[in-house]
Amino acid sequence: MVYGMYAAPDQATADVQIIQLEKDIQIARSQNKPLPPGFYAHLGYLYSQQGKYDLARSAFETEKKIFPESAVLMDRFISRL
Amino acid sequence: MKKIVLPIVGLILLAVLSGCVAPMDYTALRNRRPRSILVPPPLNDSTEPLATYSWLSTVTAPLAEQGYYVFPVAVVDRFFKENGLPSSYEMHQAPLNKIDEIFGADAVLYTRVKQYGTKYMLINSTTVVEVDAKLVDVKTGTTLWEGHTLNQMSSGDSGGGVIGMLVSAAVTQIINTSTDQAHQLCPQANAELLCTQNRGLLFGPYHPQYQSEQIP
Repeated sequence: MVYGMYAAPDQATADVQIIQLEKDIQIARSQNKPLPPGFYAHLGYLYSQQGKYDLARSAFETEKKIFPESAVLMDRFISRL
Repeated sequence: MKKIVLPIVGLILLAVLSGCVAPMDYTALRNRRPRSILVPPPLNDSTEPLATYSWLSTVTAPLAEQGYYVFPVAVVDRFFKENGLPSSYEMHQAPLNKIDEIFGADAVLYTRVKQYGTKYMLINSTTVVEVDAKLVDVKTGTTLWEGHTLNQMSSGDSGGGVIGMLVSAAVTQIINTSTDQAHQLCPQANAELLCTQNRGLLFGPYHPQYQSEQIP
């Protein structure tokens, strides 16, 4: 999907990506599998691009909770919302 | 006298060079044990502009499988660009103390795509992905690990006589251009580079065998 953002940006808009990522959350929940590092950070970034700042904030918080290593960057993103 | 010395010097040189293929030294990596890795887009020596992001988009999965926290590559790339570093060349020049301050990353994986794409020959085509990689400690600038991978896939591998080969080459050339075969080779190349035992990275903190793996 990330490759698609660059190889065919018109087909990988924020909307399309968000739908895909939200679907992945459902799949991960139903199979009780963890999501990869950076997943919620990427989702939060997409939300912020769409002006959905509350959703963005909560996605960045989730990333930070699951992966404390991301705290410095997530706090930076949150402070910019 | 000179005639004797030269071959001896040559032999010594050969011995020194072959010594370079010694097993990976994991001392620095084992002492530092980074938890998080930042991956800026690779430098691209190939003639294919898409190589940069083709490679970048497949680097997260093996690093995460290996147990590391990987900063979201596309977001990091955008963040760099928004802050005045338009290309991977500038990103690779970014001072480590800034990377520490802004991202809080433990280590940076610098990569260089040396070859990427499909070479067409008479009755065959070969897809090649070659990459150099270096993991650097953000706090000290020390190199923790270095790796290299060269992955090739040949359209002639299916065999089947000369006529069979011709057809196969023609078919794969068409497939190559439409589906970007080199991109499909990237996950395999990345996994080999980063996850091969005794050559790849040690396991990170999210791997069940963290700190308990066998180190040569």
